[in-house]
Amino acid sequence: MGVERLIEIMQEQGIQLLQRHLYLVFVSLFFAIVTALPIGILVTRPPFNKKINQILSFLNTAQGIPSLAVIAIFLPIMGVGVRPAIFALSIYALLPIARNTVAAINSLDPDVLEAAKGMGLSKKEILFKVELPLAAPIIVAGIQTATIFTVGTATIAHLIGAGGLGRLIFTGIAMNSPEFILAGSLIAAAIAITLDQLLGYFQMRVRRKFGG
Amino acid sequence: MIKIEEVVKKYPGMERPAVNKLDLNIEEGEICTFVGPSGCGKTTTLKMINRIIEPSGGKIYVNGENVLDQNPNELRKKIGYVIQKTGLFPHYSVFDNIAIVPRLLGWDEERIEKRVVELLGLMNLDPDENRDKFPKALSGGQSQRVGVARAMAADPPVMLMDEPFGAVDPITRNQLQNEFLKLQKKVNKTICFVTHDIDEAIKMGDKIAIMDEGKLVQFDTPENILFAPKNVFVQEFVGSDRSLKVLNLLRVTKVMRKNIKRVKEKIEIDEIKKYFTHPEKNRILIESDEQEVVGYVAKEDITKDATIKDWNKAIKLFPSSLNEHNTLKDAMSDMLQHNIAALPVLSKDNKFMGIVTFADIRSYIGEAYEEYDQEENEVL
Amino acid sequence: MNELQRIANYFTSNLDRIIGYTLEHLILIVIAIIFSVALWVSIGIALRNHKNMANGVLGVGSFIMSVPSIALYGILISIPGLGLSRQSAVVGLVLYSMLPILRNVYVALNEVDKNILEAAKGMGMSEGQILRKVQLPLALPVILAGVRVATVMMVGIATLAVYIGERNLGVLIEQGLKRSRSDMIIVGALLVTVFVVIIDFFIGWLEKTIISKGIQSDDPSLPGGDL
Repeated sequence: MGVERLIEIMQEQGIQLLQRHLYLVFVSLFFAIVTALPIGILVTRPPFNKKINQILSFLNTAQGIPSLAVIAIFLPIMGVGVRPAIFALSIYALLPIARNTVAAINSLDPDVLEAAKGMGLSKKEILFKVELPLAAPIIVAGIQTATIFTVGTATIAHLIGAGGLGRLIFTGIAMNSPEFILAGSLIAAAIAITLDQLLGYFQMRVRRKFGG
Repeated sequence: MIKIEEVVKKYPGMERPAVNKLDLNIEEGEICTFVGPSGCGKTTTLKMINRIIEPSGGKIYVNGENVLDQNPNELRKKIGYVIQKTGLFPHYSVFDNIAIVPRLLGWDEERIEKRVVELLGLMNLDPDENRDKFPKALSGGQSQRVGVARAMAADPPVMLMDEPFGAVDPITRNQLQNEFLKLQKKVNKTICFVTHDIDEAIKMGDKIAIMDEGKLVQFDTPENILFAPKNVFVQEFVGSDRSLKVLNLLRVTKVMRKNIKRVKEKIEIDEIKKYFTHPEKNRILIESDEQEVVGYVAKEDITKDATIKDWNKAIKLFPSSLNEHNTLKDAMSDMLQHNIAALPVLSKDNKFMGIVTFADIRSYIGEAYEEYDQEENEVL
Repeated sequence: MNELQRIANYFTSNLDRIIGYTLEHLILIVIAIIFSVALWVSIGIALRNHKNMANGVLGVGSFIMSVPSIALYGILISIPGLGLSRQSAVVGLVLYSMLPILRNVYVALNEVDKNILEAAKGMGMSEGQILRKVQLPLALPVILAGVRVATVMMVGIATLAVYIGERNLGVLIEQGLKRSRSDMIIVGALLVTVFVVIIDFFIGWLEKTIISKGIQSDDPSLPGGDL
């Protein structure tokens, strides 16, 4: 295995593919957060909150659906390219965020909420000033999980023509070229770890601020 | 049975030892209550007996053997241990919880079955109803009872109890205390009982060990501690109402008067006056037509020139009664409540036994204190 | 309804192969789980009283989890000695299950009520007896929850292992993508999803059966996993 060749690949193709990869990840996360949070909050309001246990159960199970299946299923539905990939990735990332949002809000101490109500806070105020801040650390943890999932699943997005670092890996496996494989793998691993650490740090700050 | 010899416990970095040269002897079959303010070392002492905490110095003998020479696990299987939060295994049923030590000791299942059922009965828990329940389904009082049953399962001669009744409400605690005292009469174990409640210590203890800042301040019977507290600390710890606490130690039967003349309401006033001339006769009981004692008349109310009218005015009817298990404190409390100076004592089957008067209580306690003071003076 | 017919058709005409693939999937997962549980539970027990070391090891696990699975496979097959083989797949699966299982073992063992441990010690139980009869049984719900999370994850990652030589249900999707056959993709995706759901329910059932009634949680939605 040639280390120079490895570095060469990383420089030539890695950077470009990395850009595409990050694009896929961040756009999908954006859609996921923007959709999952409202859905998560909605589920904790009546009339949906009667079925909270079933919904949580469903979200838990849905998260287990293999990433390959989620990505692949969009080919017959939407064809190839970046758009179907982003759809797939968004839906996949949605699940942990929604689940954590629901679970976090659901597990808040009812006494605290009752006290807030008793103090005269409106429903909207309770949501934004009490529920969301207290649930924030866990929601951020959900976003952390979603990010790692998305970086990982985005590597498979190559299979439906979306590009990204997966290209290096899959090409490498097909050509039996360790340099290609490692080039893609190492960069993908590096991003994943970096983002994880960053979000972990962010989560800690949120936890400190809101006393989670 | 338990000998604590110059025992010390020092934690690194702490100024004074948690337990500072403790010396004490507990006889077989006695309940010794350890009491004192927070941090006095009572729980530490208890935990050194079964080596949950290892002593820094000194020796502890249980039944003649030094605990430090024994394998700790084997030692503990021979000592019952009851803690405040019970520590019942949530994943075991009541039956299995109680059966833990017997199973560890290898008893056969038949013997264990008999023993568990017996213990549940002793604890006033219906065996069939409770044996398969899990701890989460038990009330506070039930949990504590199972905790005690579990500690007694292998019939250890010695039991260590750390605030065992602390986690329940006062009514349940009172019940548990009474039940335990009754039980102890049957099983006669040697028990070390830690509590922070001086009333509980007095009620439960055959002997009380009062500790402060790691040292033993007074080790004595409840009466001695109440009548003759060794120093100001004990006095204050016991409370300024210690003479009232003494009342709680004595049953009404101690002070009861038995053979008192009874008359019906309608009397000959001269006969009454004649009766009261005897110096010791100062009460007359009034009987109903069904021969039940319903009230009394005190000598003080019948003067030389009293008439039937005065007699009728002097009749005081008994508003309530005491039973033979009531303490002098109960009697005083009732008397104060009903503004009356005497009450009858009835046996279990409602038979009249005698009366208790305020004056008699007062003189009894007063004389007891005088005796103690006399003894002290003699010693000096 | 042509599309639906095509899908149903594909399923029925390839039933043998599909059953074969399902079996391969199952075998891979079972092997991986056995190794994972044996390894991570043992390490979790060994580390239970060593907070700093445990945190270090868990850090490594977290690190591994954040690496995309296909990338991890890629790295593993590049290691001489492993290569394109079942071993690589198993190693990958075992590494991925480290965090959910090990973390749950460590946390659960340490969260046992201290009163219960003191009572057990006071009754004369040795440390080994306390571990076996008290700590592990009480930690079991959370440990099983971790195994459940790990297993569900494994189904997905095992599916990807077709790209390093495995021949399980992932083949349908892989070939479907390659040849642009939507019927294969759909059948593959559906089967794999059903498989996950069945495994999830199965372990859920195991949880109810194995765990003592005295400590079963009354809330069915709690997975005890990674909140």
